[in-house]
Amino acid sequence: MVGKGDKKWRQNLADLFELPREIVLNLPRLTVIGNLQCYLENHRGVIQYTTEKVRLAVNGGEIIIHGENLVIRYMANDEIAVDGNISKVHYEF
Amino acid sequence: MFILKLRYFFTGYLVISVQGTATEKFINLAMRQGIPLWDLARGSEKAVLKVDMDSFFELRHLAKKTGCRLKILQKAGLPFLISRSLRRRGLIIGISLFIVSLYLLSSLILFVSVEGTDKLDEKYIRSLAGELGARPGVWKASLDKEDLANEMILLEPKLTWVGFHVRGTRLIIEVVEKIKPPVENDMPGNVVAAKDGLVVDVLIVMGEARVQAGDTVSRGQILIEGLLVPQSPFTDPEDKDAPSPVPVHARGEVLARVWYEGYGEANTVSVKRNRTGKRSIAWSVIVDGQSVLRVGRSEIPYANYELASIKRSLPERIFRIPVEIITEYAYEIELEQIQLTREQTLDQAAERARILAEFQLPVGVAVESVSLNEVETGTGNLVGVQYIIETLENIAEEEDITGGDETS
Repeated sequence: MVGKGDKKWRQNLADLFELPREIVLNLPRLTVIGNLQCYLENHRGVIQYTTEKVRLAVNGGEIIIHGENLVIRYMANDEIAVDGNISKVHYEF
Repeated sequence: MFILKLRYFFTGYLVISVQGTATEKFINLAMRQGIPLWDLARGSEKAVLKVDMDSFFELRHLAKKTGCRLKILQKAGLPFLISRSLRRRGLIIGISLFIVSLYLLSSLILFVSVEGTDKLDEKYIRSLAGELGARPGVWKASLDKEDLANEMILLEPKLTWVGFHVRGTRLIIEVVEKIKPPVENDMPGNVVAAKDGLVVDVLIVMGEARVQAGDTVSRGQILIEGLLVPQSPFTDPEDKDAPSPVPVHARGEVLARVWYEGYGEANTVSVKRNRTGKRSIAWSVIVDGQSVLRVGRSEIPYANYELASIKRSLPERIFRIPVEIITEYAYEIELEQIQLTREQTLDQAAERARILAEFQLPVGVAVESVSLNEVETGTGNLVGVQYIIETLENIAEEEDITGGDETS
C-alpha cells in the first residue's frame, strides 16, 4: 500500500508534470459508454459476478456495477469490459 | 478486441460452462495466469464463457484447484468448421469437381481472335488456323505455336509473318500481310507546278522544259512536258520527215520563290476581362445522356460572366456506369478597357498575321526573307498588318494521271 505522505507527493508530481494520475497513483480508470458498456482498466480481479451485479476489486477498494443481463465481454490481466443494461456504478473505498 | 476475436475464430475456441461455488476465484486465477476469457455470461449456478483451444488444458488444471467442474458446450471456430465440413462427402466432391473443371476449362482454347488483317478476311485466317489444328476446344499445351506459324505462312503466300499467342483462354493470331512495293510509274506524263511562284532555276532529268528562270507560274501549270524531241544538228525544224517527238515520263526539279501571306488586325482599345472572385455553381446529374437532376442556381446573377464546366463520370471498373455529374461554374467578370499605344497595337496585329502565315508554311522549308506591310483598314481604332514569308522551294510535282490501269 502507498503511504499517506507518499500519496501526497505522488499527486504533486502528477500535477507538476501533468502526468496521467491513474498511472502515477495506480488508480483504476473507468470508461462508461451510455448504459451499455463499462470498461475498467487497472483492476485487481472479480470479487462477485452475477447477471445483476459485478463487483470488481481495484487498488484500495472496489467498484460495483449494478444492472441487468451483465456479461463480461472481455477480460485480461488489467482490463475488463462489462456489457449489459447498466443502471448503477458505485465505488466503495 | 475484434481483432482478437477474429484471431480466435481462426485458431478455434471453446464455449465452456464452469459449475461450482467459487467461479469468481476460478476466473481471477485464470486472469492472473494470463488466460484470455471472453463473453462471460452468468447462468443459474454456472458461468458460460469462451476460451481459446490451447488455454483450455490450463483451465482444467485450475478447475481442479478451485473445485469447479468444466464442461465443453460447443467447439467453434475455423478448425472445427473445417473438420465438420470434411465429413460432408457431397460438399467435398462438389468443391473438388468445381476446381478440376475450372482448371480443365481454363487450359482449353475457347476463343480465337485475329489481329492485323487488312485485305484478308478474319474468318479466312480463322479457318486456315482451324485446318492446322488451332481451333476452339483444343488443349493449350498441345499447340506448337512456332510450328503453326511457319505452316500458316507456307499455306498462305499473302502472309509475311504470323504470331500465335495465348492470353487466358483466348488464342490471338497476329498476322502481317505482304505489301507489294509500288511499281515505278513509267507512263508518259508531265511535271506541273504545285504552287504559285516565281521560277528561279529549272533542272530537267527527262522531258522538255516549258518554263525558264524569271517566269511566274501558277498552280497546275505545266513546267516540264513529257516529250522527247529527237534533235540532231542535221535535221531541219521545218523538215516534214523529221522524227516526231516521243512521249516520256517527265522528271525534274523546278526551284521557285513562293510567298505565304498572313493578315492580322488589332484594336488600339482592347477590353480585358478580369474575374472578380465571385462565382455561382450549379450541378447536374446526367444519366445516359439525359439531364436528370439539377441542383444550384438556375439563373446567373451577374451581368458579365464566364462559364466553365467540369464533367465527372464514375470510374469504369467492370462495366461503364452511364452517370455523369457536371459542375457548372459561372465566374463574375469585370470589363476593363485598356488603351494601347500604336506600337503595341502594331505588334499585336503583326503577331496575329505571323501565326496565320506560318500556319501555311510547309514543314522543312527554309525561310528566305520576311516582310511586314501595314494595311489601311478605314476604321480609326483598327490596325491591319500583312505578314509575308518568302521561301525558295521545289514546286515540281508529277502530274496525277488517273488513267485507270492501276497496278497493285
